Amino acid sequence: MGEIRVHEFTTLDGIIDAPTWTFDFPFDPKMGEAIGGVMSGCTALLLGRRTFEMFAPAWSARTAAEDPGAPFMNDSPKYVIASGPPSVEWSNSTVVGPYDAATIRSLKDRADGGMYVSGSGTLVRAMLADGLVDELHLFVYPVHLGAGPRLFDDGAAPGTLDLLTCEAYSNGVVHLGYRPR
Amino acid sequence: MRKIVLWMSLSLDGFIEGPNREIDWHRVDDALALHFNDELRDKGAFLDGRVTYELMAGFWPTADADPVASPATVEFARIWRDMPKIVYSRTLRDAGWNTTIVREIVPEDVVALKAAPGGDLVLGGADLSNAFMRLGLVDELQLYIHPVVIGSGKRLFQSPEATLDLRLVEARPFANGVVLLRYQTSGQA
Repeated sequence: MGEIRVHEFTTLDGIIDAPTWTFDFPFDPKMGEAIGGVMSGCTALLLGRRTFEMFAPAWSARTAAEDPGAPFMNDSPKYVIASGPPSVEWSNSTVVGPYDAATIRSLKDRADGGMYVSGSGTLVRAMLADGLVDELHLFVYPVHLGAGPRLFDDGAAPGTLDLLTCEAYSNGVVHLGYRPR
Repeated sequence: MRKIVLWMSLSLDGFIEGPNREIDWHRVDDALALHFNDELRDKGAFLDGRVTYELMAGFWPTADADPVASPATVEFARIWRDMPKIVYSRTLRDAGWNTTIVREIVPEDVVALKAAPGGDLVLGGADLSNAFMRLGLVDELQLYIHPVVIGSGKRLFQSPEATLDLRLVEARPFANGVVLLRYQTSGQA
């Protein structure tokens, strides 16, 4: 039985589009450690199609020397929620099919460790609504955009979360970790 | 020069109130209420729009008369009554409790207010806050992120054209799961 751990880069107003706004901020190694902490204990990745297609070419080319997360991203089994085959290939990937809560639940049940999710807004919104997210790790950038795709869009299922983590980095990013109740 | 501090509680999904102005999702325990008092006691004034002002004026003047009111509530009732308050409203006729009614936001007047002696100025209310942000009159954001998703309502950041450059100065968790995020804006007037 694995837990689903979601990692998102978000603006202060909750926008999670392709986060080009992160480029304006230097990367704090402590933040890298925190992201590593989210990955640790995870033995697989669960990704939406668009994020998979964005990640595959970027991560495939990266080595452990360039990014300590590269072996985890490239070598771990990856499950892709998509109704058709993605436009790109990536090692150790399996297309699961379109989103279905029961399918995700059975993936969780069979997993021998946590499942790491990054980006994948459509998938994460659906899993939050279905109560499938065990940990939500938000890396909040000191930016507000006013408009754009949000992690919690209008009509998100109301609920309460427990705060697990609150850590600030030298680049102004704050890691807020939550466990939905 | 004293600062204008935008002071707001937000749900994790970014709302400052529900569709019918609900704020019953706020998670304020004694520790957080005492923190609010510590932060607000020495401020120079509260700046609100009419709606927020009337909500406050409908509760705080007599909140400490309730025999079961907590010590934090009793203290805040006194803070609120004594604090100089400015309410921005075109329609409000009169207001008690040390309140001045101002009809329009005039940037020069706000700058003069900042130059006057005293503590920092606490800005509240969604529409008033957005008006101040659009005019570049906000120096600091003091945001309390409550660990709650409410799904709909009014958002704090409403206009893409009024974005501020922000610098994180504090991130502080409270035991009940609320997080204080404090940012300075770069363009301090």
